[in-house]
Amino acid sequence: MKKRKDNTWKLGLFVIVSLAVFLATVYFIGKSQNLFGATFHLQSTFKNVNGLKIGNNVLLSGISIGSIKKIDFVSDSTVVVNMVIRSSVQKYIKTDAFVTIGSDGLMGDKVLMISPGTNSREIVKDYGMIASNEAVSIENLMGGLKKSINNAEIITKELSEFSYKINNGKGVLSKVLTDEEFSKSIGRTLKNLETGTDEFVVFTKKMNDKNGTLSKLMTDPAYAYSIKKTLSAFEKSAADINVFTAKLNNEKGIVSKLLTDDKMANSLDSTLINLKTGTKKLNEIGEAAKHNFLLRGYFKKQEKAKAKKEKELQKTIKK
Amino acid sequence: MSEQPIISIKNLHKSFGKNKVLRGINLTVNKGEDLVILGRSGSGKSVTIECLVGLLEADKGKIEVFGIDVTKLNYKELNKIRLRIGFMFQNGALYDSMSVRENLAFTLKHHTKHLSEDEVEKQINEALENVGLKEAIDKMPTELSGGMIKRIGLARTLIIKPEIILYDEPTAGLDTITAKEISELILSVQNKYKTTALIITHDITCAKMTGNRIMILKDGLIHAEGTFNELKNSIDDWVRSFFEYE
Amino acid sequence: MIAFIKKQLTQAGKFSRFIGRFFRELFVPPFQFNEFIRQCYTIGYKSLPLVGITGFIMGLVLTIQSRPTMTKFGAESWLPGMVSLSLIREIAPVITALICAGKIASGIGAELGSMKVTSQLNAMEVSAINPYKYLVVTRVLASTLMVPLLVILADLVGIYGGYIGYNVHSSIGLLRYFSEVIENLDFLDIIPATIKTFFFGFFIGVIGCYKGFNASGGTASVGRAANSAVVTASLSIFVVDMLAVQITDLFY
Repeated sequence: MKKRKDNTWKLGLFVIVSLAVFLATVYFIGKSQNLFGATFHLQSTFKNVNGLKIGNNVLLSGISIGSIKKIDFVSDSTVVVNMVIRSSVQKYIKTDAFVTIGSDGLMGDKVLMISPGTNSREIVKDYGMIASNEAVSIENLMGGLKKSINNAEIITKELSEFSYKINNGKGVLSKVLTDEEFSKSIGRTLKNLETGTDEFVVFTKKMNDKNGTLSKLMTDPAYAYSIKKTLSAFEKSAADINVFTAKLNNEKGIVSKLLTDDKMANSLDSTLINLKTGTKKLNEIGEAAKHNFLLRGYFKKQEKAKAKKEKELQKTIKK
Repeated sequence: MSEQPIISIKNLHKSFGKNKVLRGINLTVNKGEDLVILGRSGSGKSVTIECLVGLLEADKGKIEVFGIDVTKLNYKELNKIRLRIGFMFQNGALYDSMSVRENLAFTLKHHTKHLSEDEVEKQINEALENVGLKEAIDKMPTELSGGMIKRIGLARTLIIKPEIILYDEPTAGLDTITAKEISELILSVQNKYKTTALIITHDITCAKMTGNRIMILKDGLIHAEGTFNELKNSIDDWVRSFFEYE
Repeated sequence: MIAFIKKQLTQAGKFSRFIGRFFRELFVPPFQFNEFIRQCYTIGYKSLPLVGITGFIMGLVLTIQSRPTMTKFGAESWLPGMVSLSLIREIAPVITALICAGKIASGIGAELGSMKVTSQLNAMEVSAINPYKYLVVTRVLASTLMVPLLVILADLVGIYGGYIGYNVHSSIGLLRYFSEVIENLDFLDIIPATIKTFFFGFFIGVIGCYKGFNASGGTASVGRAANSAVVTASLSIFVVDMLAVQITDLFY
């Protein structure tokens, strides 16, 4: 009999502890769902709630302040969302605040985000209506992303074609700028012109001989002077042309470098290739995000593949 | 011996499946009488007294205890009758999760709520004294010997002060000396409390010591009836065979 | 074959009658309060270490085992929520109930079975004590009420085990962990899971008592009663669980 009484307190302890744990759990869950404590209600209408559910969190400046209590149709295209919010934050929500449906992470639950307005100083009332911004859904986001990825791809493709043409010298411009043969032929022409001028000088010397008939004809000093003048001007311009072509041939010139350097062209090419792979990856991110659950795992795999690709690419460049 | 029989069984039938154990038992027990039912194993002795207290339901027949037909009673009314009958089981049937004291207090407390702890303790001691086992009060049934278990069983039966005590094989499984002690104990209890007793046994010594009257059961029927000496000198060979090993 | 089916149906009928008797006797006074308290102590308090250890290990192991998969999905931070959800909704109730089936149902089956074969039940009966009321009602009621409490504690210990498991590879504060758990819980996780544990407890008690009460013959039948109590109780737990989950599913 005595033994039995001694045990009763243990049983009591057991029962009380278990019940306390249960009640505490119920209380905390209730608290996290704002069932206990002072709360107030807010309402907002949406055309589309994008899968917002009862019990989802309501955030203000990123802090959870309440939850969705009720979602009801009011007409065929309008849904009214009722939320329960802790009374303590009521003073921070003004009448011109608006709500947006967002998601908690890329694949998490939907959340209702309250954004503060700018002008009003009036605090919202219980069961007050606040404006809503239609949700930016992941689907819309993905659509936009896809479009810009497509554009980028087209641009890169064109850029790549352009640089390819420059490199391979099929266009007229390229020929002008990069063909070595062409610049050599210019050089030759100029040399020929120089020797031509030299011969001319000899000829004029002969003409200056006082014994020749031609000299006689030409010894008129005024006449001779004018010819000489013409010739010297001619010589000068030829020299100028010579300098230009020399510069053109010389690889140190900026223009030349831009237009003729092989390395430079290659690097331009690889930049464009990088740009291209970059766009491709962007495309893949979009793809991966669609397979939402696998997101991280997918990326990990892609990272490895990317690293491999890059190595190969560097190898080809070195070659 | 009073005129009114305290127990009267008429034409009692009981069968288990196809096995007809009792096929029309007729017996009466008068107040203050010690009736012994003798019989071999399986002759239906235990079944008879189990029907008597309602542990088994009779197929046919009438069982009157204190003039009331127990076969027609509901559970509550039956329990009232049961309180006036003591039943001592073959193996003692002590509650082995309880100590001797708790075993005795259990029934007593269950039926007499108004008793104080001191009163209960006093009655327990008295009952144990009657069976001569006062020192075993704080022991557990597993610590007791076979003879002690029977004595405690008897003490537990006595504590509710029954008017009839049914003994189911009181000496079974005991050595002859202990069996004799138990028989003596039964006799002394009978003398002290003046109860009526129905003793079921196959032990001739016990039957001789305790019974005023003896009945012999054979194949579900009362085969012979009489005092010990009458039966011993019966003309029936089968009846006499019981007494050969005395 | 027909005889076999008839036998099974008879068993079912007898069992239903046994349950029916429980509810009849439950509301008829007197109620054996002391025995009830004693049984609560035996069933509830005495099972605590066993249930606690099992719960702790389940939480720990579940966390460690789930981690690689969750990390693969990049959802390692969901681990506390996921572990606590599966513990509360399914694992803790079922494992605790199975442990109790092993401990309580077999204990009751063996106890009542041995009382039956040593005619202690008859002894009670003839001393005008209703053994059903004294033994069955108290035990069934005690196990019905104690198993849910054990499950609640197993939940708690299991979630704590999950906390230890989580801290094997990364680190999180206890408070942060529990707030993560609470954040992920809903009443729909707790209430149906708790309600079904009452049924688990009820069937553990009832089956243990039924098997013990119907033991017959020698001491071998006591072992049979205990064994069959454990087997039947365990099976019934799964059946009840299935039904409970399906019913809950209708509401969710």
